[in-house]
Amino acid sequence: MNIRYERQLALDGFGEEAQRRLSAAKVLVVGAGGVGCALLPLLAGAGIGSISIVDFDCVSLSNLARQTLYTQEQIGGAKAPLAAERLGKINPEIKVVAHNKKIEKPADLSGLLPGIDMCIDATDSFASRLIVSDACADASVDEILCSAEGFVSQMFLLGRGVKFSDIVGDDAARSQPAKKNPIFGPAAHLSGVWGAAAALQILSGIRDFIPGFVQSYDFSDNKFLSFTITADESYQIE
Amino acid sequence: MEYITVKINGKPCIVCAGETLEQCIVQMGHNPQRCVAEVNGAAHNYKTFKDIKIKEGDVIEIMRVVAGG
Repeated sequence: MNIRYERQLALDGFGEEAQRRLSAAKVLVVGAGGVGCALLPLLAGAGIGSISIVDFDCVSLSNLARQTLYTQEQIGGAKAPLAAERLGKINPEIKVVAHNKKIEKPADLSGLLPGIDMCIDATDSFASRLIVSDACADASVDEILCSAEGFVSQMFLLGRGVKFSDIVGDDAARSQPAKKNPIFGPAAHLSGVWGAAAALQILSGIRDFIPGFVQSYDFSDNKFLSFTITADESYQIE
Repeated sequence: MEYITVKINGKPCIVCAGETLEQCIVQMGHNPQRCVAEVNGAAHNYKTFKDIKIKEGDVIEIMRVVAGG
């Protein structure tokens, strides 16, 4: 048994075959900010075989309250390569690739999606999320969208006929840049933890991908919501 | 004008009888195009909000979609 993974290998329903699936899995993470900083170490530590990180931003002082992959000495450095370097130190057995790249249209992602088993959207605006969702739909790649704002954490499973545009129908959202809205660090991390959990469970084969699954938690009132949205616009509550 | 009492996000609210879910969401100050909701356990998105008439005693949960990270 590989000691690195012995605690997850011992999980009910997990085991060597599930670990082999994780080792063979290729994940693309778009965004290495507050949400990405929570989910990326969990993916790397659990042994996802190939992780690609896309981000164009540089570390700033205001990031450090929640973007825990980075340090004060790294302010000004590009996030994608810094995150990749950190993941390589967490788990040298996996492949990590950084793309220091801005995503402004679906075509900007299309070259990175072939062969990807799961795309995780950890970006920070409606515009970028609609772009990522459109690109994943075009490439038939399943997507986990993780978002946070204020005290709220959310996660959406998209693909197989369900797109983010089925949830957000506002055309103005496509041109709305990222806002520096207030954000509670744990809320960003919770959505990242949810995204990592979903990715690891789905890619290891211990949980089914349910397109249209949505969950939300509000730290301000401890309210949890969960829906499943189907492509034919009818809905079922969990 | 006739009024009815419903529960929205866990709190009792008085709304106009015959109001749609879309109108209800707008009155709460949200953009319906960026919300999902459930009424008495049945979920809806922006495509169907205008078709849902709110009735006395309805239990409504409105989830405003967030995009930050």
